Amino acid sequence: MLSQEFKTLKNLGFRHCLLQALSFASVICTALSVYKGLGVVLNTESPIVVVLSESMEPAFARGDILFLYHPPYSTPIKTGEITVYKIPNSEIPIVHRVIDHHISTDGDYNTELILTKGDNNPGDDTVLYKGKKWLKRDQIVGKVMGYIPYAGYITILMNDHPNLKYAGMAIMALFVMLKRE
Amino acid sequence: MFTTLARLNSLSAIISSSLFVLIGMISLTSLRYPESTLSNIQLTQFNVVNSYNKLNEFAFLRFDGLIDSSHLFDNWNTKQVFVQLTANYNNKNTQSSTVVWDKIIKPHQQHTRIENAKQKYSLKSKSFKDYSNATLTLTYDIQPYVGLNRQGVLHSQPIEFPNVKSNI
Repeated sequence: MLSQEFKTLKNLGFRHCLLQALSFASVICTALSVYKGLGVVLNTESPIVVVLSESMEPAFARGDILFLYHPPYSTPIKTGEITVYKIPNSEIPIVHRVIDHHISTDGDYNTELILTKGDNNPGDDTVLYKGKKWLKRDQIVGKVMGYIPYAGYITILMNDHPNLKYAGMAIMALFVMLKRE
Repeated sequence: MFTTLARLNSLSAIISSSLFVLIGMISLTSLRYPESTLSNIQLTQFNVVNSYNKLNEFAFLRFDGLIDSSHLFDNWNTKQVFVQLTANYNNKNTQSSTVVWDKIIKPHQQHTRIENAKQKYSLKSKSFKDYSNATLTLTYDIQPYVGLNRQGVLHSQPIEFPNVKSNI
């Protein structure tokens, strides 16, 4: 069965393979540049995140896609806003709501202290801050502007079942290589 | 050109693009929400006490109130409304806002009467004496079915922190 496939691949020729590889690369580059361009417009390193936990139920469920915007540092965060933050040395960004916020002004320099809590969690997030009592502003990745429910569920499926990811990638690559048009 | 794969491909393309147009149009219907002044809050208890080690002061409050969010549920894209009661207090060098109470409002709770509710989160400071222009604000955050999150104010009133109570 596989020998047949190799035969077709041989028949297509080297130039055709190169062309297919090029179009595959251009698709990936377009997706990446759209994502990064969105990051420039929305002023954040990750403009789109997928909700991974149930801590913000019933507002956000697992698999929802969130669009983030990071306001300039001159605009402080407000209580009630849903923020995404990253703790140093931990990979996973956390989506929680701000419940306590203090700005202290020293000349032109503002220091923001932020405390967050998940709507579905009984207590606030101090246990997640790795010994710190407050979040600093530079740990905030962005605040949630809008969302699409469940649109990112496929990434959760792929995280939970890595074999699915490899199978999907293999099938996609095969189709791209064997397509003749 | 007329293979099963090509048909599947164009079918999924038209489904996903029309779904995105539909989602976009739904979220456009909920860009503006009307205002309402029906909500109100009355403090029934408001005390400030020292902590045991005298390093901090804690403020305790209880309140009655009416939360009217019917104008926010007029739009069919509203999944839930998250209301928060926030104390805002500033002095020369700091601006603070602390949420003392919150509630998730579902569509069947559009008129919610609150009786003698206790605060949920602690309100503490080195000293509440320095703060002027303190306010108590009831804010909302609309969670839509799809689209943009919207924030706004339901009710706001000035408050004055009482003197520290010596014995509890």
